[in-house]
This record gives sequence, structure tokens and C-alpha cells, in this order.
Amino acid sequence: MDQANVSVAPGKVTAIVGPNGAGKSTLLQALTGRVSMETGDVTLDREALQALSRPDIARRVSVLQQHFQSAFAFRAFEIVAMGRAPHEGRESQATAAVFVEQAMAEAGVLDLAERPIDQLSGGERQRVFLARALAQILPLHASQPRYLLLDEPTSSLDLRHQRTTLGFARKIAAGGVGVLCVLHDLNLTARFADHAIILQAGTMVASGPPAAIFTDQTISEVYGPGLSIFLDPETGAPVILPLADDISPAGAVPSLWALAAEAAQVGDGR
Amino acid sequence: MTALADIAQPMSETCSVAERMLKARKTVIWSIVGAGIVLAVLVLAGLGFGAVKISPAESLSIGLAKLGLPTLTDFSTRDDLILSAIRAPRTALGVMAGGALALSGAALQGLFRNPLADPTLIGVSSGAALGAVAVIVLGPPVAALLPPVLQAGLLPVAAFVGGLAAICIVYLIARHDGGTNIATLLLAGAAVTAISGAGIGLFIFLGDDQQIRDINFWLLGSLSGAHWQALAPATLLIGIGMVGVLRFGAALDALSLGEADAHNLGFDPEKLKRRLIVCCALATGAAVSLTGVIGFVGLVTPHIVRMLIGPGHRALLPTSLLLGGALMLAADILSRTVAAPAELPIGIVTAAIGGPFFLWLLLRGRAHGGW
Repeated sequence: MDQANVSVAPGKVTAIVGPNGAGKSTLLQALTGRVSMETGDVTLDREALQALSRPDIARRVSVLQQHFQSAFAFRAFEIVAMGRAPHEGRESQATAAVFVEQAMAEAGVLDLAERPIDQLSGGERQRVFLARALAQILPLHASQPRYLLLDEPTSSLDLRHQRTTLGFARKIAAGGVGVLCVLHDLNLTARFADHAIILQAGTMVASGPPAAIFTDQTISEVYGPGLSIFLDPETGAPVILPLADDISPAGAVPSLWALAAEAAQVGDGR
Repeated sequence: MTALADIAQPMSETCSVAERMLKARKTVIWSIVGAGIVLAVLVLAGLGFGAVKISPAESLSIGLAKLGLPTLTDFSTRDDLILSAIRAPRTALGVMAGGALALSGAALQGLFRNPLADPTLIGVSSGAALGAVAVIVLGPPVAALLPPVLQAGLLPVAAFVGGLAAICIVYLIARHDGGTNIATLLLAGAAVTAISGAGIGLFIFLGDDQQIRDINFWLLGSLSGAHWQALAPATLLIGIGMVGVLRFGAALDALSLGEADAHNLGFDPEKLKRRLIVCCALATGAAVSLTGVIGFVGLVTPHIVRMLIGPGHRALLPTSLLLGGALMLAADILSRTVAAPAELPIGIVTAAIGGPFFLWLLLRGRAHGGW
């Protein structure tokens, strides 16, 4: 990372975008103190991150990792309950249970409570981990604002789950949480983020509302040529799609690898 | 696990999260109480079994008499002597060693996020074995220079130092850029174990017949060498290690989601790894220095406990400790009775039962699609 200046505002969804290797995930890790910076500093509500204890940070900032792994077959509610670990000793079991239940209800995973995590589908598992991340920073309307950082939350999801996950992020932001998303998809960023930051090779290229900074010039500078940018007639948000290069040779090409349904009967051939 | 989950399914509409969390908390208490009862029964059995049978009532009475309390029944001086000098220290060593190995196994499986981890994997046992074997072969001239009081302590001390040295080497190799790479740690453990094996082989080559018998006996493990003088320092070290490990239940739960998640939940994964490894090395090093190498208790016990009560470490750690002690005593009773009046090395018993049992666990895990 070279030059980047990122601030996450409570109540807003901020997205970090940029090509592979731009330093998006490194930036996220620097914000949680997992990687330290040579120069520069991270402040959490005007306090230096280094001056705060790990549990103190964890009570205010939670992170949804890209991969949802568990070495052992914990049940879903046990995973969500781990979110209250930084609050242990400061609240009763009953209070913890209220927040765990609330987070599970918000993420729509109450009916999965008893299921072992290794038996859930990818989408269900992500919702359980989202509930864990939310449970960690509850209650929301407290004196200190809370932050939720999501590391590429949509990278392995289908369209429906992309929509529900980012919709969830918006709902959480509406509750007063500062949400920061590392995203790959510029179109999702344009629709769901209030503010976007474009990183390239560790340097911040642009920062502002997606509609304002996703311009022809900036996008082609960062991602190269061969992209078309137009405005969605329905929402007015910019839509960015790659153009396929025209590489079809002249004349018809015989197909080299084909499957003819009649010739590929499945059976033992007798 | 599938069967359990299926049965639990219909409950999910009526059962709130609060009730579930309360139930989980109760599981912790009940599993500790249950394992404690199993352990108590096996302690009485361990004290009673042998060439001279001593009933539980007599065992309790001898204990009560020592405390100056009224006894339940009469007992002979002979029984008192057998119990105090032989069976009690042996049982105490069994409980401590089994507990230390099983607790360390549970903690290391959580730390490495690997259900196959156990104390032998990080080199402690093999380092201790090398230390002990070196003393058996090279020790006599050294021991001659020491006052008689220290001579008996030479072997356990060398074993303990060997175990600790092995884990230090493994840990230093795995440490890089302020982090500890788990894969490197396991591989370094395998390498140090192989090197220790070469050293042990060399000492077997150099040793005379009696020394080779002693080496074999030590490598197969036994509780028969237990006496109070050696137990006192070991108890201290094992106790420190156990208390240290037991504090990390919540942290190990978080760590099973990965180091990044543990960090984000407010834990310091590096500090956690360092402390856990030191505590496990202390407890198992001290235990192995007195018992020799005893396999499978550390590996299998946590799996049994996880099968019974689930993977949460707050319940898993103390229950593994108690059940590990109980399993060790059960194996010791078997080793004393199977070939009586001869005594089978306990390592043979634990491996003969633990190995097939572990295979059954693997097949069961395969059928259910995981752990």
C-alpha cells in the first residue's frame, strides 16, 4: 500500500474496488490492525487503533471473512454465539442470548439454529457467519458507532444471494452501522454503495459516490480498454461490462469437440 | 452427527436461542460431573485391583484414616502399605498423565484445527524419549557422580528437558516474521520426531542387553515407576500446564473459525499459540518423563468427548482431562490383569484398543461425511 485515505461513515455503505492485487484486502486488514503499517495510522472514532485493546476494537468492529470455515461441526447458533466472545464477562448469559437471537433473526437463520455448520449450503453458511458478525457489534444504538467490514461478500454467490447479502449490508447501515465492503463487481458497487474508493496498485485513484467516479476515463485507466459504460435506464446507476474482442475467423469453422445426443447414450452397450 | 441433528430438528420451532444457550451451558456442567464420576469409579477400581484385592470401602477408609477422620470399615496394615506406597501413587500418576495427554490433545487439535493432532505430533514425546534413552545408556557413569538423592531424578529430568528442547526447536523453526505457521510447525514436529528416532536407534545399537530391555520398557510406557518423590514436582508442572490450557476454551472456539476470525473476535492468535504450546509442552513433558511414551490417549479421548457432547471447547477441555485420566486407569487395570502376574506395558494396551477404535471413528466419520 502506498497512498490511501479511507474513512468509513456510520450509516453508509462504503465500497473498496479495484483490480486484482490492488491492495483491497490488505487495506481491510490494516483497518482491523491485523497488518501494521509503516507510516500512517488508523483511527476508530478519533482514537488511535493501537491505543485500544483487541476486545475493545472487537466490540465495535466486526469482520466477515471471505471464507467460512470451521474445523469442527459447531451448530449454527454456537457459531453465532461466538460473536459475543469480546463481551464475555461484561454481560449475562441471558443478555448474550438476546443479541444472538436478534442477529440470527436479522440474518434469517433462526430456523438453521440446530444445524451443524458443515451441513449447510454455501449461502446458508454465509448468512450464519453474517449473523455472527452482527451479533458481535450489537446493540447498535449505543453511544459508540459500530462498524462492519465485509471482505468480498458476493464473490462466490449467485445473483439472488448477491442481492440478499448486499441488501442485508444496506439494512445494517440503515441501523447506523458504518459498513465497508471490499467488492470486485463494479455494477453491484454502483447499485448498493453510497461511497466508493477505487484502488490501483496500492494507491487510491478516486473516491466519491459511484455514479460520480465510475467515469469512462477513470475506469479505463484502472481496468484497461475494452469496457463499455452506460447508465441503467431504470436506476441511472452506471453499468460497466467487458466487450468481447472480435476474434472469429472468416468462414465457418468445423467443430472439433462436439457431443451428439443420440451417439452418447449412457449404458453398458449390450 | 446427522442422526442427532435430525432428532433435534422438530424442536427448533419451539426452542429459543436463549434456551439452547442455557442448555449448552448445562452440558458443560453435566459433562464435567459425568466424567468426574467415571474417573472416581476408575480411581477406586485402580486402587482395588491387583494381587491383593482392596475393596472401595477399605480404600476410602485408608484415605479417611490418613486425614484423621472416622473410617467406614477396618483394614489391615498390609493393605494400608500396599495402597499408600504402590497403588495410590500409581493411580495418581495415571490420572495426571492421562489427563495431561488428553487435555493437550484436545487443545492441540483445536489449535491446529486438525483432528489428528496430539502431543506426540509436535515432538514432545519423541524428544522426551531421546532424553530418557540417553540417560539409560550414558547415565550410569554420570549418575555415579551425583548424590544418591538426585540419581533417581536423572531420567525424568532428562526426559523433561528432551521434550522441552524438541518443542523449542520445532517452534523456532515454525516462527517467521512474527507469526507461527501451523503447517511448518507440524512438519518440523515430524522432522524432529524422525531425528529423535535416529538418536534412539543409535542408543539401542550402543546399549547392552539390560539397557535395551530398559529402553524398550520405557518406550512402551508404564505407570509402575510411580513414587511420591517424583510425583511432587511433576504434579506442579502438570498442574500449571493444565490450568493454563483450561483457560483457553472460548479462544479455541474462536480459533477453530481460523486465525483471522479469532483476531477479529478480539483474541491474539500469536499469543494464544505461544501460550498453548508452552502449557501443553509442560504438562505432557512432565507426564511423559514419568510414564514413558503412551500413545492414543491424547488422540482418541477428545474424539470420544466430541462425539458425546459436541465440539465446544469449554466443555471439551475439562471433560477430556477427566476422561483421559479415566481411560488411562482403565488401560492400566487391563495391563495389570491381562497377563497377571506379569504386567503388560500400558502403551501396548492403549495402542491395541486406541488404534482399532480410531479406525472405527474414521469409518464412522467417512459415512457421515466429516467429523
